Amino acid sequence: MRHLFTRLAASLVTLFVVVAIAFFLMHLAPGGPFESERGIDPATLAQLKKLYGLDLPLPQQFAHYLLGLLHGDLGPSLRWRDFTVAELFSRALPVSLTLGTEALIVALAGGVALGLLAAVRRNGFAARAVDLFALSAIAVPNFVIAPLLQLVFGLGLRALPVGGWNDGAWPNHILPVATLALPQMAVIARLLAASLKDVLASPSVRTLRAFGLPQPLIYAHAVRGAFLPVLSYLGPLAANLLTGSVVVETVFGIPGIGRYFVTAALGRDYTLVLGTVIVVAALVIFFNLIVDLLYGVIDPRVRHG
Amino acid sequence: MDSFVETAPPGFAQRLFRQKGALGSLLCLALLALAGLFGPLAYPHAYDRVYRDFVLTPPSLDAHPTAAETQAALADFVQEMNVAVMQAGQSADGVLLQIISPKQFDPRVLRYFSRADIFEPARILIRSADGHAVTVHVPIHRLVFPFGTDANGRDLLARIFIALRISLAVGILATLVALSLGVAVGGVAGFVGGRTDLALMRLVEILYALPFIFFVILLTVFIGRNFVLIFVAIGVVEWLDMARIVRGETLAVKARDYVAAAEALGAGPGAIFFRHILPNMLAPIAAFLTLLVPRVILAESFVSFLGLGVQEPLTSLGLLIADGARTIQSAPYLLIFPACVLAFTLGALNILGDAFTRATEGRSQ
Repeated sequence: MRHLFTRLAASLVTLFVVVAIAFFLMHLAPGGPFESERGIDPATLAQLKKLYGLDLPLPQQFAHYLLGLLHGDLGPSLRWRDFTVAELFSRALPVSLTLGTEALIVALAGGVALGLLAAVRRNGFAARAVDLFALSAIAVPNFVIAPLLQLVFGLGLRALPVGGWNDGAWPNHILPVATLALPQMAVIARLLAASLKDVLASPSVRTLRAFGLPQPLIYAHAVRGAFLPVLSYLGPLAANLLTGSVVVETVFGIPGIGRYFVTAALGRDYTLVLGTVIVVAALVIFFNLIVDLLYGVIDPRVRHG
Repeated sequence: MDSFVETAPPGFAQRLFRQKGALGSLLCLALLALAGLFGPLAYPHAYDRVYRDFVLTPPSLDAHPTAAETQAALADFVQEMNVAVMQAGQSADGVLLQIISPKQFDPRVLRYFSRADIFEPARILIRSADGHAVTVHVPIHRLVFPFGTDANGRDLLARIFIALRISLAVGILATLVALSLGVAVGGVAGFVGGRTDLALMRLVEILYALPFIFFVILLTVFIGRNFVLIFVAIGVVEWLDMARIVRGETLAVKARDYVAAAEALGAGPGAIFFRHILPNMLAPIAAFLTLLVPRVILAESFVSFLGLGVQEPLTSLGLLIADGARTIQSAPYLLIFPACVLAFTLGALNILGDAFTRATEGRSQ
């Protein structure tokens, strides 16, 4: 319990530093949220800056922002006027979270199945096929997979929508989730297969075999024993998938959080960028924490070591 | 890589090449590197040469212009220059035209041919007595676009050559940046230990939590969309894993007996690190490097895909793919060729990286 508390406290400190770094880097970068507007006269610019508190000294702005954060207020968006960052997130975040969760589940289930297949039929055709699939899924980046899937399933077969979100109708999920999940599935399969190979040759599995345990149970034990490398990969992966992929959301035209990020950062929408950074960083830190805790559950040596 | 093979214990090269696919992927990479280095020099088309007559020409090994394309170009000539072509004949390397104009023949009409991509400047053979009719010989400029041309009429293969050069250069340079930063930070953290270690590793953890895109965009904002600095931006982002690995290795090697022996003999910290610790972790570093290069190339492609990386008319594989994805319906070859080249590069690097890792693991067993 104490361990958990110290970890949580450390995480909060990390998050604070992340916010501070992002805040100051963002504000020190040349240009501002309103400078790119055409024909803006200095008086209006000053007025706008004053309205959003951008005329104050930086430390004061930072204190102001932190105070808002403590109240759960992420501030107004500087580019999407009339919207607060929280309002934008309340629409975009569920979309990204849904797609990310689905992709995570698909990647995990498929990756474990393929990894198991490759490890069990180590020298057979299946292992080679899994190897080949894994290699191609890793070597073909998602910004290639996405248009190819669109071409084949959307334009060629006309089976699935080419893009759009359509309020989350299920056919609109399939291609984005596949794009997100395929490469990760390959990585998980490879990690698991490599680690399973060692575990299946270990004395513990030999003992289980000697006891005459049925095959599926043996494999269940082996997968658990071989899961650590996959687990440490899953932490950052979960955070990445859940915060939305810029590429996937751009190519498929999905109104998720990833799409905001690039436009916001390029347009110096300070509050929106900071909000995104906070969400991403919090998720990364959170999942790393979860993974650390799960280590102990899966491998008792970590807990007592 | 060569220097690494020399410092490795004997037998490393054999172990490496016994790995499945290592030799093949190395050859494949060598070919790709040669294509990037010498392709742009040896290939007839320049990467930024625009052929206005050949926009979105599909890939083919046949020479352009075809007979139909020549006819179309001549018809265009007749219309634009307001002359009549009475008879057209073929010669070995061009066409013979008898041109009749309503007024006195103006040689400036022939400028049409020097402007066109498929013709070379025309030569007047015979001029009629009244000056209204001339017979000219127009040599045809034969062009081959093996991979077709893009929406601006630029040869795709030439662009792939230059893209390979840029992507490989980014891969190597950004990896070097990541390598030096990672070795410096990881080495200091592991070697000095204590509070320094704690502080540096906390820094790495914090930087991990910041999204990659945030960094890249911020750096491009600070340093502009500058070609060289993209390398730096990617290298600066990708060094975190390297720092962790180097730190772990330093800790492991530091505990070895020979380091204690060197210390007992009075070697200074610098000598111990550079002479005893660093050489002994070259193998895992090299193994990680081979996996870092494809990641860096992918990162550059991704940045270019977002329009923040290499700027036109220069190009990288990611940029070509981004352009290809836009015309996927009308000209799928614009996506397929660059995507295949990128996939080959990444695949070969990954196979080589795996072989490297397995070969280095073989040593410790």
